[in-house]
Order: sequence, then structure tokens, then C-alpha cells
Amino acid sequence: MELHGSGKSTLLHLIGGVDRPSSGKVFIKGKDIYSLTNDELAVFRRQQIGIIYQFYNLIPILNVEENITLPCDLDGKKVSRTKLNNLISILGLENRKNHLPNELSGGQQQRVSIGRSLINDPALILADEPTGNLDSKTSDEIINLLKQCNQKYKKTIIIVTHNLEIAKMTDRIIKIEDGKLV
Amino acid sequence: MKLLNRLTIKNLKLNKKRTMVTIIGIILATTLITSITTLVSSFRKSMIEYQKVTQGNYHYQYINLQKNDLKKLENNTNIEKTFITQNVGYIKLENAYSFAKSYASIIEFSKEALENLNIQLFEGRFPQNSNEILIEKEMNIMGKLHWKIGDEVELNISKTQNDSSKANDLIKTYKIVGTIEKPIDNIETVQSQNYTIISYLDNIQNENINAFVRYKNLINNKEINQYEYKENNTLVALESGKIEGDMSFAYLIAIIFIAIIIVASVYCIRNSFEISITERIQQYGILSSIGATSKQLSYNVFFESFILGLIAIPIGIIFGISLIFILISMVKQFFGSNLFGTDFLFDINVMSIVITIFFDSLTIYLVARKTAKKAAKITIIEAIRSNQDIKINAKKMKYPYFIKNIFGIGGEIAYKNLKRNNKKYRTTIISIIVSIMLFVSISSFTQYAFKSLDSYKLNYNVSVQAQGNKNYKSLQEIAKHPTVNSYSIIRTSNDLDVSETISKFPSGYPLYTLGDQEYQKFITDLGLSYEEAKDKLIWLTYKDKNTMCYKYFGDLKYNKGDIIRGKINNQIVDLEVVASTRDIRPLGMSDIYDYGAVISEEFWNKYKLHIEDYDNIYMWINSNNADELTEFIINNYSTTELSTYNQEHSDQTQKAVCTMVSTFLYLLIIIISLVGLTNIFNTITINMNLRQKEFAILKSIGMTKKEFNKMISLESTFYGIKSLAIGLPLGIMASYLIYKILNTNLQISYIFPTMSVIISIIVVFILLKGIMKYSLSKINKQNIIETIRNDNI
Repeated sequence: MELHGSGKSTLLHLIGGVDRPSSGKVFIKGKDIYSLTNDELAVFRRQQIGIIYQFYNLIPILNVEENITLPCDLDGKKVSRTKLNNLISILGLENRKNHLPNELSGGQQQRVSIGRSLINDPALILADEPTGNLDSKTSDEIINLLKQCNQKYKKTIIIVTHNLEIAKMTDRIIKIEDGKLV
Repeated sequence: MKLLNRLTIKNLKLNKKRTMVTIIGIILATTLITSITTLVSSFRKSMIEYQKVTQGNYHYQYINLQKNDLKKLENNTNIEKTFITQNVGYIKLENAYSFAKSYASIIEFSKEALENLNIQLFEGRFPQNSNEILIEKEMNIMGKLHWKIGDEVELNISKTQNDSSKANDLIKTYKIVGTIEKPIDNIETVQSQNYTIISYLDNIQNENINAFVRYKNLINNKEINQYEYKENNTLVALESGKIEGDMSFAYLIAIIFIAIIIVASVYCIRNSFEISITERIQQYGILSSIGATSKQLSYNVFFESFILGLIAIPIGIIFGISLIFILISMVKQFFGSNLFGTDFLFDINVMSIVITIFFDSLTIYLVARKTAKKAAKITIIEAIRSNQDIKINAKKMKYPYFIKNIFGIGGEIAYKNLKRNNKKYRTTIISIIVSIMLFVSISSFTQYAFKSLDSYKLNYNVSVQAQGNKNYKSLQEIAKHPTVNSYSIIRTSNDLDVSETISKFPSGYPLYTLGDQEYQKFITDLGLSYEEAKDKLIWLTYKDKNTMCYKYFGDLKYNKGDIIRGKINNQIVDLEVVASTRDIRPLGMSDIYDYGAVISEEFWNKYKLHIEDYDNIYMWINSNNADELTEFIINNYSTTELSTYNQEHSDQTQKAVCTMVSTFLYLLIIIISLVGLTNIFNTITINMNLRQKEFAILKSIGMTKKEFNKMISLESTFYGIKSLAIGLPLGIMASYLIYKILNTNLQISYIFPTMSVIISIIVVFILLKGIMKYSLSKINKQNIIETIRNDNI
């Protein structure tokens, strides 16, 4: 956690393989992910990483269920119905399954993007200011949801935030200042 | 992959406006190509049909064959049909008006030959045996034969022309059963200077057989190497697509055309994709952030192009074909089907449609892939944020103060928008530029084509040439004949000497009289009265600067009020120019006569001007019965003094072709205007639609209607000025290029496309303002927040 512009989002994007480092390397499971080709990186992303953005970045033309299952479909895997329903009920989106993103509130959209990050059982979930766009009540809900994921699905979650309250709820806090760990 | 297909289709369905603009773009490009190829092939088919009807339905005529040659032709499977004629011999027309045309040849025609060689019966019927003949109507007059239908005539037939011995003459009696118009030139095997007498072929001799052959496949004809032949040039060229002479010129034009049309349609498609490039790149970014491989993405692109092409290309083809079908039907409806002597036929060229489909599909795919590649080049996070289109410098952007003063905050936003949101702005501009260029260059091409057609159109049908003043009276008498509608008699005096006063070279200016009637008409056209003009000069300037005279003498131009000092009969005279004209010309003086002055008959007599006995006087007559007038002149005046030419018939073919070509050109310009208009309309509309969100945000923070209007005015002004500033010069350059290419074949000077430039300026501004205002009023009716939240366009 730290102030704006210190480089935490960039770090997260680098870990997630959606940006390119101008220098240095990123190792995940002992592998330099930027030595992979773009396609290998894409496959890596959809299997190993789930990303949650501050502005959700859902596909506007797909409904809730389709948005969640998208990484799975891209991987060519069959989505398990029970798993999906389970996930949707944890996310509290049972009544919204067929809604399009622009029919949802901010908190609901963020829950969809959490669902999307979880569907492929990734090793790592990266959340970039997941609550930055939400009010405090909804923020709490989202953080609780992430915590639940952490405990229930045994996922490693990296959250980028400048909010001390949220940071305190995590197991470990890393501070970044001017691009350096402190 | 199924998911991606579904995603694509959903995407297309939900982003209706975006899909529509792309589809319209593809439809336009397809319509453009299809309609023009259909128009060209319809035109070609009509021309072929016209040639068949007027010049005969055959490719080659083989001359002087024997019976066994004929057998060989009949056994050739590549020959569709053969019809034959046989030369009998020649008769001399002792009283012929013209020495050059003092023979008639007698040719026997088979039944098919009579039907297929455009023999036009004027009176009577076709011959049914070898003792009956048809004679040329003109021959009867010019040869002073005075034969009538039903007459039996005894003819001295020689085997060859110019055979004065008469030793081998065959004497045969024929019955005249009809008269015909002048037949096609190729009927004559030796030279077309002869008149033709047509009889019926009922008994084939073993010599002098001519076979008119129509091939199935024109390329495989070995016979041209074996026999003497005559080619039905235009038909062969049109049907085989052989490039030679005039045809290579036609191909050159076709190539420029194709180039312009391909560029236009590629840009049409490109722009329809490009305009929503930000949205597309964002979509690819999100997809790849959650792990879509580039293979999956490019499959997605391919599928999308396929769907778009599948919808748009057939519609475009149907549009293009029906457009031409409707236009041609309208032409027929309007002018009647006999305008050209044959129908303007409708023809679809299947090959060009196949090529269009292939070409369009390829363009769509490449253009769509370009977006995907662009998305792949930048990092995913940049693609998602989709801000690479907006360039913001660290420095504060400078903008002219007057903009804020005049247009207020709306103007400032508009200005910044144009500067920073460069790409969208550029796409819209490029689209307008393409339309302008297409319109200006093609309309300038049609202008040249019309102009060169003009030089074929004659406004007289009889001309008489005489020498010296002694025949002037005769010409004036001829003018009184009741069939004369209008006429001019042009005498040229070289009495005005300017070698000491103005220039050594040319040393004199020619002075022309026109005859009373034409002089009166000419000064009326120029808005002068007889009193004003009678003692003065009406100066003729060059109609075209591409002539030899212009190259030698430069621009000999005098304006109203100028005084020309010169000598007439060794007396110094000061002659005032009362008018100067270039385009308004007297009858018969439209092409030749580069410079000089028109004077009245009174002027001629006052200064005692003269012409030499060997100088020519020309009379040009527009008669309502050219045949009757010609006959009258020949019977009443000495044929050694007056040479009379009846242009009526040679003119008819040209008139038909001219009408056909100009119809083609009008249709062409209609298509181009339609496509250009729709393209601009399409681009501006989608540009406004894509910016709805932006407008809604501006509205939400309190921008008033007035400020909006100011913003729109400034933006449309910018769009208009910039696209015109680029599009017009490009269009003019293209028109100049077309001129340069045409100029090697046609003697014309460059015409600046003023009219199409003015039309472009007016139309672009009206469209811009109109569509922007309309979109704005639509936005004003919408719920602000819904528009902001709506992600689908």
C-alpha cells in the first residue's frame, strides 16, 4: 500500500502479465513470465492469474454468467454447473445472472469481476484498488468476499490499495514508496 | 471457438450503430464497384449490339474465295456462322457528280447477308433473284441516273474498275426493286468510294466469293493468315477485348478509373472500421487480459469480418446491380428505346462480381486484422485504458484566444477535442476527403468526355464549298431554298494588314462575313444591335489553346473597346472591337478558325474587301431535308463550281454513339454522387453517435444548449475546412492527371473543375452542420445518465 503514483498498480500489472517491464524480470513459479511468447503469456494469465480492476472491465455485451465463465471458455474447458452456481451464490448474484454490466451497481459489477477471476482456479488473484470505486459499505462487502475466497478456496490474493483499513485486514502488508519497497 | 463466435455475434448485435456503420461502409464500397462494372459491361453490351446492327453481325470478311475455301470455312467448328456475297462487276456512272465516286459495284447477296449486313431499305423490297437489284438512294441523285423502282435497266458490267476497253463487258438487264440508304463501308471489297448495287445470290460461282464470318472464339482464327480479309474493327475490338489503337486509350481510362474506385472503396471500408477503433482495441484488450491468445483473437477478427461480409457484400451487389437496372430503365422510359438505334442494354458481368466479392472480403479482413494487430502491439493495460488515441502534452496547450472570445467555452472544448482526439477526427476527415476526391475527379473526367463529344456533334447537315466571289450569289440563292432552316456563308478576307502597326507575325488578321441571317443571329447572341456592330469588329479568341496557331502567335486577344490599327488597301484604318467572344461562335465556325474578326456585309462593301478567285467560300446549312436540298443543288448548279456534301448519314451513327456515351457519363456521375453523399453521411453520423457519451458528460456538468451549438459550429467548420483543404487539391490534382492522360489523345485544354468544387464545398458544409445539429437534438432528448452509462454504441 502507498500513495498514488508510487508504482503499486504497475507492479501488480507486471505480476499479472498485462504490462511489459522496461527492465527487470518477473518470476512466477520459478519461471520468467516475460520470456514467454504473447500467446503463452495469455494462456498463463487465464490459468494462473485472476485480475480484478478498479473499473471492473467487464465485457459490456456479455451478461453476468457469461462474463464470469469467459476465461474458462477461452481455455476451452467445460464449466462445471455446480461450481458456477456455487460461485454465483457466494457472490450474491443469483438474481442477476442474466443482467448486462450496465444494469448492475458498482459493487455488483465488482463482484462479477471477482467471480471471473476465480472461475479458473488461478494460483494468484491480483486486485487493483478493488474498492477504489465503491462506497465504504460495499467496500467492506467486497473485502469480506475476497477474504472468504482466501480462506475457502485457499487462494493467494494480492491487493493494491492506499486504504489503511483494508490493508489492516490482510495477512501481510508491503509498503511501496517511489517505486521501492520499504 | 464457439464462445468467441457467440461473442462476436452478440457484439455485432448489441453495438448496433457501430455494426451498421461498418456494414454501410462495406455496402457502399461494394455498390460502387458493382454498379460501375455493371454500367461498363451494360455499356459494352449495348455498343456491341449497336455495332452488330449497324456494321453487320460478323467478325471478318474473307475476300476472293473459291468454293473449296468456302467448304473449309463451313467445316470449321470454331465458326458460328458464315454468310456470303459475290462480286459481279462494276458499272461506270457516266454523268457522276463527283469524279471520285463515279463507279458502282454490283454485288450479289445471300439471304443471310441481306439480313445481317444492315441493309436499310428506303423504298421497295429486297431482291428475290439475280435479275433484281437494290440501288443506293444517293447514287440515283449524285449519278444523275433518274432510275425508278420497277424500271428495267441494261448495264454494261466490267470485271475490273478502270477497264476502258469494254472488251470483256458483260451486258445484263436488271429490274430495280428498291432503294437503300448508304450501306456499310465493308461491303465493298476494293474500295468504299464506290456506290453499291445489291442483287440476290442464287447461283454461287467458283470465284469472287466473299465470306462474312462470325467466330465462336475470336482468338483461334487461322484464316486471317490464309486469305485476304477485312475486319469489322470495332466489333472485334469490343468482343475480344484486344488492346490496340483507340482501344488502348479506352483501357488506359479504365485503369485510372479502377485505381480511383479501388482507392475509394478501400478507404470506405477502412474508415467504417477505423471510426470505432478505440472501442475495438479496448475490447481486444479486455479479452486478452483474461487470457485470450492471439490465435483466438485473430479467429475472432476473421469470424467478425466473415459475418460482416456475409451480410454486407450481397446487399452491396444487389444495390449496385439494381441501381444500374433502375437507371437504365429510367433512361429507356425517358427517351424511348429507339434513341440509339438500338436499346441501351442491361448486362451483368459475373466475373467482375466474383472479383468484387473476393476483393471486398480481402479488404475487410485486412482492415479488421489491422485493428487486432494494433491492439497486440500495445500492452494490454494500455489497450484497456484506451487512451493511446488521445495525445496530451505536458505543456499547456496553446489555442488561439479568438476562439474562446468568439465561440466561448464550447469553442475551447471543440478545439481541444480536435487537437487531442486526433484519430477519430482524422478518420472522419479522410472519409470526407475520399468522397470529395472521387466526385471532383470523376466529374472532371465526364467534363472532358462531354467536351470531346461536342466536337463530334455537328449543327449542320449539308455543306457547300465554292471558290471565289463569283459563286457568292449562287450560295445566297441556295439559302432561299425552303428546306433551309439556318445557314452561314463564310467568306474570309485577308485585306487587313497589321504588319507595320501591330505585328510582323501574323502580318494580318482575317476578317469574316457570315451572311445576313447568321450575322444577325450571332450579334443577337452577343447582345448587340446591328447599329452598334455594323462598322466594328467582333473578335474571335482561341476556343482552345492547344492549337498550332496558339503555339506560334500566342494569345491573340482583344477586348471590347480596343482599337486595332491596320491598313486596308493601303489606307490606314482604326477599327474598334465591339465584342470579344470565345464560346459563342457562328454556325460552322466552332472548331476551326482560331482567331480573327467577324464583320458585317456592310463593312465588307464599305472597305471594298475582296477575295481571290481561288479562295474558298464555305456554306454551312442546317436543313430539315438534307437529301432534297442536295438534289436541288446538284440539279441546278454547275458541279464544277460547287462541291456539296451531305453529312446527314455519316452524322447519324456518331449522334447515336454520342448519346449513348453521354448517357453512360450521366449515369456514372449519378452513381459517384450517391456513393459520395452516403459515405459522408455515414461517417459523420457515426462520429456523432460515438461521442454521445462525451456530449452527455458535458451536458451533465452544465453545458448549455447555446454553448453546445457554438461547439458544434466550430467543429463542423474545422471538419469542413480541413477536409476541403485536403480533398479539393487532391481532387484537382487527380483531375489534372486525368487531363494529362487524355490530352495525349484528345486536343483539349485543361478545364478547372469549378462547378464540382463549388458543389463539394456547399454539400460538405450543409451535411456537416445538418447532421451535427440533428444528432445534438437527439442527444438533448435523451436521459443524461443513461447515455453516460451506456457502453454499447
